[in-house]
Amino acid sequence: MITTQLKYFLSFGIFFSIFSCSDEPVNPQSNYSEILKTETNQVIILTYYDLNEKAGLLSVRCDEFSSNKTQAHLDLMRQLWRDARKPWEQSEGFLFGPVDIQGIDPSIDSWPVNVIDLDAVLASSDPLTKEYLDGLEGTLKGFHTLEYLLFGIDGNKSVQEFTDRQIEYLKACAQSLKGETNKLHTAWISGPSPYGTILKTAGEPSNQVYLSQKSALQELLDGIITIADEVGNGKINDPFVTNNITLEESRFSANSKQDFADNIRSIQNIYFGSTDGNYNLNSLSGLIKTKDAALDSKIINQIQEAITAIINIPGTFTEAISANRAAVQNAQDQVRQLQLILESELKPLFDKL
Amino acid sequence: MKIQLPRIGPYFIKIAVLSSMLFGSVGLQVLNAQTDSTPLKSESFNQLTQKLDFEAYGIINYHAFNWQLFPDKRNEIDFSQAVIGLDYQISDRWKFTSELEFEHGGTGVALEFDPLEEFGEFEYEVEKGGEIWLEEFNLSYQWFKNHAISFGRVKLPFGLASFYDEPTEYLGTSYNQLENTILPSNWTEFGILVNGKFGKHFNYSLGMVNALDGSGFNSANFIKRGNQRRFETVKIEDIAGVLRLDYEFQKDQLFGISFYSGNSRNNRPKPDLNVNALVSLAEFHTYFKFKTFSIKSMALFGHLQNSELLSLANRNLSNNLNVKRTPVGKQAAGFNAEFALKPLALFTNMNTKELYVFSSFDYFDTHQKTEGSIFNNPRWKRHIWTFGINYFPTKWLVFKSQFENQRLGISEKKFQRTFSMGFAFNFS
Repeated sequence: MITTQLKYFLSFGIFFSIFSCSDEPVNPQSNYSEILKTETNQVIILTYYDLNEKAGLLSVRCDEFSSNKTQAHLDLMRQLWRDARKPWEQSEGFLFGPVDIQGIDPSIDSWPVNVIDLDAVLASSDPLTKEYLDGLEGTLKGFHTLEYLLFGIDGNKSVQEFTDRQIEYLKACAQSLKGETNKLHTAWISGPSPYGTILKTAGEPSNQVYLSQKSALQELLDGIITIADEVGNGKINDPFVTNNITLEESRFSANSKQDFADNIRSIQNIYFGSTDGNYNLNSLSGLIKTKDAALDSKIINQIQEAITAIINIPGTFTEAISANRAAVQNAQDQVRQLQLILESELKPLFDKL
Repeated sequence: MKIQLPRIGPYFIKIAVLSSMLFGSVGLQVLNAQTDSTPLKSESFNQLTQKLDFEAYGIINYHAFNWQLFPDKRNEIDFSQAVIGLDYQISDRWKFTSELEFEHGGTGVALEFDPLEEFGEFEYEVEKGGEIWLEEFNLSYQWFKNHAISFGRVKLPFGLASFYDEPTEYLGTSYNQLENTILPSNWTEFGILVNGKFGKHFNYSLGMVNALDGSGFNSANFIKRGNQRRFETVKIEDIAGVLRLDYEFQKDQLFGISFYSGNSRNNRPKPDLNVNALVSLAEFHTYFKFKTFSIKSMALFGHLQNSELLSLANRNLSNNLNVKRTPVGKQAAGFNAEFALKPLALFTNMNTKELYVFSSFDYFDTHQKTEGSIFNNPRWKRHIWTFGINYFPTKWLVFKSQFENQRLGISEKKFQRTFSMGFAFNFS
């Protein structure tokens, strides 16, 4: 009898202790689905939509080029190249998902251009079509091959310098780029499991990619840290410390400063949850503000410092490597400072979410 | 509604063939030779060591590069190979063979910078378990006097390098470039191998092994990187057959042929290719060693079915897979010949230390033919001349040096000149 009473007593005790454990108040801040929705729809998909549209415009103009071989048309194509380059560089803060898994990145942005093989392809008699370019290595297509063809090695290629084969190549290359940007945009919005839905439904039982919302947020954070590292310690550092302009990525178009600034803007876009420079409540910034308002201000400030320092480098980046080394050094320092804050202050805070 | 029946047929055949070879043929012999096995515990330490065969070999090389296409290539020292081999004669008929290889002297993940194929992308080269791996691990059973069956991870009987793979057996600082470029280095696979002799002069090998994984194929190396090493387990959805036949006049004088054939579609990490991709390889080799000189040569031909569709499927592979994703040739072909002289042997009384002077020529093209819209890149047509010296102060130790001039099939920046020297040891 006593033992039976003891059993009941113990059972009650266990029952009570289980329920008292689960009785803790649910943290209202631990549901991040609105943030993930904003980042996906307002930043990532919007950026890829913009990229796809602009790659389409460039492709249309390149198609017209053989019948309209004027300097004005060439200048227009160059501008359209810069326009398309902008959303691409602004997407480099989130180089995860289809762009990585489906191997799309190398087809869009391989660097440097493989001039040796490009000359060999131009010298061959193979028909230059989109399908043919699709089959080539990444270093023979994408943004930088287009840049090389449009601007020339010194950035001053004239209309007369274009051969018929180069025009064929240019057209196919722009079509191939458009094909890739379309594939990328589509992979986020449609198909049996659009990646946008995967990111937005992080933590739901059916989600096999992100088992928790926290892991999705960490993917976003890792993305912006990676690009800060790449700009500071790769894109700026390599040509700068070796004083070697051939290591500068967008040299032919003198677009490097714009590239770097857009890379930092990709950090800003993810951090603000918008692409227009305005702060969105459901964003990483909104989340951090509730945890550590001082850190939030510090990050916003440092993003701006880095962008300003890059833009303020006098002349082109190519010239500045030797003529304005202090300005380049300052830009690099500001980007590295941003990376440091993201890694040493923001990341630990994320780990505690 | 159409009901899809499981594809039991092909699997069943594969399993049946493998099982019957393993348990049928060997099993019968085992039953017949029950008396053959002696329990280990009754043996003394001396008897044990008599049955153990220990071998260790390795090579360290220094390379100085002068490559026109890649002028910034830095000089290197590479601990290319260190192998510990342990064989144990379990009984008169059963033998265990193992080789543990330490590649590049360590474990872990190696960061590669490949400017030639991908023009400047960093890549992590991850090999299973770092770069220490069990190259060979098999049991063999001698079923008749001159015939044995091996199973486990076996050395593939294809080409010259598989038979002359120790640094004291080849004269360059690495194997000949033809094999080194196109075939998996130290090519071993899981499977069953039967080998032996017939007649007075014939040696044969016949095997069934796991096939290659086509996601690793690329422009520069054809099928080399299809040898499955990336994942913890090896896929065996596709099986390859291999056959080798040698006519041996006497020791170290032979010529022979070998064939390899296997699909590379179903061992891919994902089922992302919907056509077959059969890899067919054939080679002819000769080796003649005389007192004062030797000649070694081989010709290799490779064919890949549906290479265009395979290349397009590879292009969509994840960056995380660390594969090249470059367009694969439909046909690869090449030729290699090496002539070596022992100048001291010309004066018989000076032959106490061995000195070899050698010269070799390699020609190969991994884009001998391409398919459909795949660009036939002339850069993959390579001519290589090598001159070198090998000096053996003892038969276990060799000092090597060589100069290699490689010419790529492009019109400018086509020369890649490499000076190498190193030393190798072999204790057995």
